[in-house]
Amino acid sequence: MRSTRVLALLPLALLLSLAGAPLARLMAEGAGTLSPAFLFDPYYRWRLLWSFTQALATCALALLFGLPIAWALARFDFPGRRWLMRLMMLPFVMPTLVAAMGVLALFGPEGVTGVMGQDTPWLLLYGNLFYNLPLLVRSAQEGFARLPASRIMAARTLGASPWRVFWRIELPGALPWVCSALCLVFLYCFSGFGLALILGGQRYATVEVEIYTLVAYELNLGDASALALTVLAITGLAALGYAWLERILARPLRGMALPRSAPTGWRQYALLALAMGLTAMLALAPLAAIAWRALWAGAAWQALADPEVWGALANTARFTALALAGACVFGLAHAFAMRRSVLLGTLAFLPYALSPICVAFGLLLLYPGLSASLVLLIGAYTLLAYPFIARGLAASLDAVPAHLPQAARTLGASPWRLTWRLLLPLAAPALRRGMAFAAATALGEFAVTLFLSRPEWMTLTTLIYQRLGRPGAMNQDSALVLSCLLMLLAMLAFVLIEWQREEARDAGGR
Amino acid sequence: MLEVDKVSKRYERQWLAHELSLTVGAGEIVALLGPSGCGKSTLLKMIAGLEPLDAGAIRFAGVDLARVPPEARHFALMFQDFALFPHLNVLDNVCFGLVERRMPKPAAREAARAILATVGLAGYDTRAVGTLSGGEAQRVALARALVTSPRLLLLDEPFSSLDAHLRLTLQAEFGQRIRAQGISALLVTHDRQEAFAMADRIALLHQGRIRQCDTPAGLLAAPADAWVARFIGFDNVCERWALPETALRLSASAPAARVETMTPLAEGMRLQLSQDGQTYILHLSAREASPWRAQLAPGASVGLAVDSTAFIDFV
Amino acid sequence: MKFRRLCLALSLFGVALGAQADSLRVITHSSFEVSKPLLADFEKQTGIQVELIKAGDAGEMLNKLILTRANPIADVVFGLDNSLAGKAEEAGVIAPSTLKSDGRKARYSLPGGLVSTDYGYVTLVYDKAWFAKHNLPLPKSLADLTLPAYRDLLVVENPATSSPGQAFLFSTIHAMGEERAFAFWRKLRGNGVKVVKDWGIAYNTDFSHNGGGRPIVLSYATDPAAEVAFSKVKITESPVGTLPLPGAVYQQIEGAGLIQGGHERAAAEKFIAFLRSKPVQQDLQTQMWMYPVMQGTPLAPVFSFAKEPAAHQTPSAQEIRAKGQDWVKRWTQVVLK
Repeated sequence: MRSTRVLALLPLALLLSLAGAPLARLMAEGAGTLSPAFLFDPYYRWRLLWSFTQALATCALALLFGLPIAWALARFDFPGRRWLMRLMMLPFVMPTLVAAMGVLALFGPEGVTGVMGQDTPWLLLYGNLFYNLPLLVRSAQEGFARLPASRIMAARTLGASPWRVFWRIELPGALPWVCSALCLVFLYCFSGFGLALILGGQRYATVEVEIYTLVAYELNLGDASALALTVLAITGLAALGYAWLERILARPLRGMALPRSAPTGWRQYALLALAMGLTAMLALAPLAAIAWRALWAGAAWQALADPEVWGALANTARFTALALAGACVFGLAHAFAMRRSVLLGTLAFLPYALSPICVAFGLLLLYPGLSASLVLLIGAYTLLAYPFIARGLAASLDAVPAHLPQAARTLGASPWRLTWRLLLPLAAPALRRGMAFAAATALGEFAVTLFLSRPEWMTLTTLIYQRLGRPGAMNQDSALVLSCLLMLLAMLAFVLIEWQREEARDAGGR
Repeated sequence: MLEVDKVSKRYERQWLAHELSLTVGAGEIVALLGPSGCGKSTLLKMIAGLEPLDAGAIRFAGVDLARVPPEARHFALMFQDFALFPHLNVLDNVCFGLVERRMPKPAAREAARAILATVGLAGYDTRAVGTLSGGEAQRVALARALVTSPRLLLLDEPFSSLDAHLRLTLQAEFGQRIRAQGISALLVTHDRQEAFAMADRIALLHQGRIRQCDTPAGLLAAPADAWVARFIGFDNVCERWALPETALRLSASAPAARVETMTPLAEGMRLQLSQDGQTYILHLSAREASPWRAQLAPGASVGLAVDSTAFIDFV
Repeated sequence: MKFRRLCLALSLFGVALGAQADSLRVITHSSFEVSKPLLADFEKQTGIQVELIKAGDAGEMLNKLILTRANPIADVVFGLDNSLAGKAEEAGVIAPSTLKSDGRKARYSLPGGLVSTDYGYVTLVYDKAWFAKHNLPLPKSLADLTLPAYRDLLVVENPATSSPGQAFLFSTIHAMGEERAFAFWRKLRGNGVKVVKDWGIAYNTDFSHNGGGRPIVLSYATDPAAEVAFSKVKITESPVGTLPLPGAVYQQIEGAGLIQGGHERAAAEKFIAFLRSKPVQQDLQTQMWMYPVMQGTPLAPVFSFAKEPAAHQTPSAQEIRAKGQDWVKRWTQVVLK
């Protein structure tokens, strides 16, 4: 254990050089004007309060909609269940820009639904749900599925109806899973930037957007630093809670799980239909809307013949591959180092808890010579992508029963051989999934790209952003077509990695 | 009281129950004995209403239970892993069934405390269930089941995760307590000693069918076939007959038998003898073995008397 | 061992990428566009390798320059305009240049060492189809926009986060005087003016021509021409028109300048000259939809769809420098908080 802790130096160096130091540098710049007075400004108070409220509201809505879906997925066996589980993963890998475009394609101007959601808080909440509902569903589903069957049966025979069993046994049993997902949902929503920037408008933007405005337009570094520290403190608490819960979840559960069964009776069929309907409405509709509108874009498809698009595609592929390689190195190091350490586990969340704008400006201040260099760009991608690998892998390593490595050691495996022949193969599914998320993050990243990139490094996301910023229907439509392309790419990355995983597991199960 | 009538259940081409019939009378403890994986637990879950039947009917007091959900059957089910609810303390675990059956909380607590005292766990009220030992946990599970005064108690391998000594203690204790309350019970186990120690009647389940159902004495007196005889502990079993060990005796005057193997045991020894092409197994205590010690050696010859009247012929 | 070897490989890779040949670092706002062949020609003829850094909105770009002035991130800047020139001069981020013209004369000039390259107008743009459909006459003055008939019709950009938003605020103040201008803005707020973050959202999301709910948008005077050029089908009349009302026309002059403390001075000056050369002056019209500053540059044919406003209300760069920031702060108080 001690020797693996040394590995932490690698990700710590990355975190320090690309996140901690730049932030500190920016704060030092604004230190003269840093004061707690910002808390008395009603405008900032409203921003903080709204950020908090929208994050909590997303948590509540995700619970309301997510629990029935998770329960149905955990208890029912039905044709297409596996597909539904896979489709639930799609929003995770969707770039922010695509998600925002999707929401606007539904509820924006000329939206598919005809409902105009602009200038209401619902647009942001819907966007938040699109990303975070699957998170809660996956986690709660696992919690429900792993609950020992005997507990549920005992409760039934003691006189509890299925409804009462849900409230008194199943929900409390799955609570650690649900809570850990809620921590993540809160963390992502509270520190959310991209979605809030595009969907929040002037009134419903989050504090992270306010920091962006303060730094980029008003050069008010004092207030920006104060707000960034507040965000860091609150998200840090959520991350700490999550890391703590993860340790509980890593304990193996005793007892056989309840086998899934085909739904019986109209009530169960109604619940299943509700679950599928909710999934379609909240997790798939925005993607379908993009595809639908892109389908009717007609002439805009000619944009694909543009060499600029092909260049952007090549860049996207190149950067994604480089970032993925970096993310694997740092992710593996951090995962092996952070096993059973709450502190190191919490640190893996630092890249999300930090204000990307503060970090980007801090990077400019700290490394002006590298402002438009590939090292910095790939470094920033890696920073944002590697925690996905680190966290998934660490959870998977923690779940390996202690006697397996013990057996391997007595059979003559050195620690390195043990890692290579036992731990990595056991954690391979988690590694693959982490890589899918990391690739998707690199694929869809645009906040940092806008700051650090050069025109000849145009990626698909910056190209979309650029097209969105030009007048004329043609540009808007081609942005839509490119979003559709980006969506397909994200799906491809997801399919390549996720499908293999499922097949491997099926083969193992037979 | 409980009537299992020609119940069938298949799982992946294997019969877990095949036109299986069984009854449990009022205040009777019936043990369902069979090897692991023969469908005992499934039958228990079908009776509790937790698994659907493929065919047949289950009745209680003459009422068909097909449309009665588990919570309305007023049965109680005890599990091998105790199935205590980890988010509730000991008292709230015991209260659970009473609260579900609409008893006011204070009264439920009172009843729970009383029954905890009778199982020797007074003062355990606020303990977290995770801190209990195996025996304590199973006592809590029993208290939780008995406190609701169930019409039928279903026990699914309740002692198999406990160590040998504790198992014997609890078998006796639980048997007394269940009988004292006059509750009908159906016990599922793969351990014949457990079945013999606790049950009024034992049903032997094999490949989805009841091979024999009788009192423990009846079973020992007349096992129905070779499989039953072997399963309930006869060592000398053939296609057509079984022989209780009491019918075998070493005697100098008896016909000679050859000593095939000798296995020393903590309390004596186990002999495998052959006579007239027939192999017999014989257990001797240290005291019984001492007069023969000089003669007993593998390959040696001793006199073996076989009481021919004690043979049990299978029909 | 595996990890260590990987790390070593990665760091070597990084060093190799970081050690690039010296090149001219050009920082621009994100709307900067120049045809690729032109830029390639420039690089070939001068042997200068151009490294373009796009730094967001012009105001955002200036803030980056101010923050990093001790160790500049670029050698030459393009895209600072008369609104920002004062602030740039005050912060001392621009170095004076000794640029020689190629014989032609520029019509417009910028203070503080900036060399003008192009100009344009920020003004109100309306959706022709919407007004025809609703049979509403076009507003004749800014005051009309505060009348109930024009309630909830206007979308503008936030002056704190957007250059055109700032330009409109300045032009109203220049036309009406500070007190009357803020009274007008207060009334406008009461009449449902919508404020959005940047031009992209205003034009592409909220403007009724692009599916939004507002038929009047604060945008650029060349939009009618751009709409024709980017139309999906060939059209002979622009679907949008300009509303050059008094107090709603701001002349924006963009320019380039050497960055104080930057390297490659000679190359930087060549690049600025390149921006003022005939081909680029011709090219930028349909790339950035701005007018060329060099006299004798023919206008692109599609510009016939966009009439250049006859008059404009633009405060001087000195006035903006002195009061601009306070105006924006006061505007935020009046309109947003």
